[in-house]
Amino acid sequence: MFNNSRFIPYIFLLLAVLLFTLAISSILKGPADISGLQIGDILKDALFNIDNKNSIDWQQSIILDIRLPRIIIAIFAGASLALCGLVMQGMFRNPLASPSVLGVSSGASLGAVVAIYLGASLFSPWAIPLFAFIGAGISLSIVYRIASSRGQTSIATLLLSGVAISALNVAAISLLLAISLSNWDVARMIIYWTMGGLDGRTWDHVLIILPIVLSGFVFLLFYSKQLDLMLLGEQHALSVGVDVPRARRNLLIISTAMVGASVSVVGGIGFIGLVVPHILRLILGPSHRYLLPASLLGGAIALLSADLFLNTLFSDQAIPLGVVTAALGAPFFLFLLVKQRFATGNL
Amino acid sequence: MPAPLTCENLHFSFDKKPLLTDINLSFQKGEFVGLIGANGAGKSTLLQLLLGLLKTQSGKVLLQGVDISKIKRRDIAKQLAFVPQSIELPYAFSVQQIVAMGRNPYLGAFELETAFDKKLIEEAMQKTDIFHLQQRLVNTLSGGEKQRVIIARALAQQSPTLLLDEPIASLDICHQLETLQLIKSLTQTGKVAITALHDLNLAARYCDRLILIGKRQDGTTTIISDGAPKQVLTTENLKKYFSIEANIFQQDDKIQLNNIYPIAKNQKQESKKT
Repeated sequence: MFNNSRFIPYIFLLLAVLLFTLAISSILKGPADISGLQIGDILKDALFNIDNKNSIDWQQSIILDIRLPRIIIAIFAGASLALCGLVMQGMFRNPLASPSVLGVSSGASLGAVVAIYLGASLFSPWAIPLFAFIGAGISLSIVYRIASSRGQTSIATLLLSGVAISALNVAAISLLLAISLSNWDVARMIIYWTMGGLDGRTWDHVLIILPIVLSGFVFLLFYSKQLDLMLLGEQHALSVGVDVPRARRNLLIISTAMVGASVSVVGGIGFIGLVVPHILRLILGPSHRYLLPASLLGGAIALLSADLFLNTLFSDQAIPLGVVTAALGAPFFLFLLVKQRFATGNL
Repeated sequence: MPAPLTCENLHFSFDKKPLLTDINLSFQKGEFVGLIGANGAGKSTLLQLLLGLLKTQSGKVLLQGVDISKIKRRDIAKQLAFVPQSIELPYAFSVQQIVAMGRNPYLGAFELETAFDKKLIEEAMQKTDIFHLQQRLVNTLSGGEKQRVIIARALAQQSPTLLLDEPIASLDICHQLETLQLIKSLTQTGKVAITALHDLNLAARYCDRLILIGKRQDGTTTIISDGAPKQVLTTENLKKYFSIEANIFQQDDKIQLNNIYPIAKNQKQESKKT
């Protein structure tokens, strides 16, 4: 690629403007007809706590309790998936790694389903994220063990272990659902949850995802230099003073928490974690100093635009969000796989 | 003052197979040490033990008199720089960025390089003849150029001790000589360089001290010989540990190997005849 450090500020400006525009468009778009001026008044009222009664109550609750949390959740869920994909690609030194490909997302889903099945989700809103975190952690540590047992593993080993673990997680979810069908209340909750997406998400969900993703992002910033060094290999990183086992462990914990939080709120949404960091790396180069904030913006843009796309074109049908991201991401994944194969001659 | 780097009674085994036993070494300031031995003898393993990259089963490595397993990686990196054997640089970092990574142990998570750091980075690039490449991306460089980038990174690290695992293996003859000359000049300013080398003639020419690693009669691998090139590169050692025969010429303090032939092959041919 070309050397483009001069353009980096403009790229960030572009990403920020894009995200802002998408957020504004999303708040304007919806089945209920509310004008931009009214929305402006509602937001102003909410922000400054004025009560000038320019807007009607039902409009207020649609904007503040339905559209706003939906947008915030889309932003942070997308950001979380892209950031985790970026960290995994760096840590495994593999452009094909991402939460969904490595089975981490499905592990988090299994954890969430277990929480619902056991009834834990009835006691605390934090039960599902906690179980999702545990499920994601178990899946990721298994993949990590396999992938790093003897130095660097081939792409094939990493991807195959991800496939195997995904299959196991999905099978376990189906099993739990089949068992719980005798108890329709539980089964209904599981089915409803596994559909995922952004519909019906509330401020409770914002409270789960926002603090975890934001603090995770800040922690990751501390590792931006170490992630750069780890890209060049374990020996290289160790020899310039990175405590690689420790850095890896902390990065795994942070990304697991972020995947757990986003999956527990919006379900498994594939390919954002794979595609977004990859495209940004092509544009910005491999430095994590730029890639981390860019992935935060890029992931948010990707999920928000997928949601807006569905709301605009298919507002009548309930098409899951994951379908759009997969429809765009899967061909890209195949393209990467083929390119990799031509570049290295093997897998 | 304690020696920059010593090791006592190192034992290392992998999968319960002992790879190295009874390694006792001490390195002094200003030494250019060559590690020699046949393929798979354990040169790389020894370097990685000295760096603390591998954990020893028993014995210890002392860095300025302190057990290396008790030192943080950042502080080890200020004492020891390492040039690994195989270098893959598939990512699009610029040469300057890679060399700047050598300053990592001195900089905090968000600290940028100071003017002093930049000066050291520039010097390191000039010494390794890659200054003109500084804006190039490393994934577009040739093997030899990448090797020099990594050596420059190790120089920018400003550590008193340098460990190099076959640093000249992928270089052309001119850059091989230049690199060894550079390492030599660094040792003359007081640094220690410990270098795994395959070319015995170059090892004899540049190193002050050679350490030969090989298998003992009881099957364990250890240090066979340690001393000046002329003491280590004897007809008997060459035969036993490298399976070669050579004429050894001595001129002043320097020695040179000529007419090198593999022994095993000759013997096989002879045994066919009989």
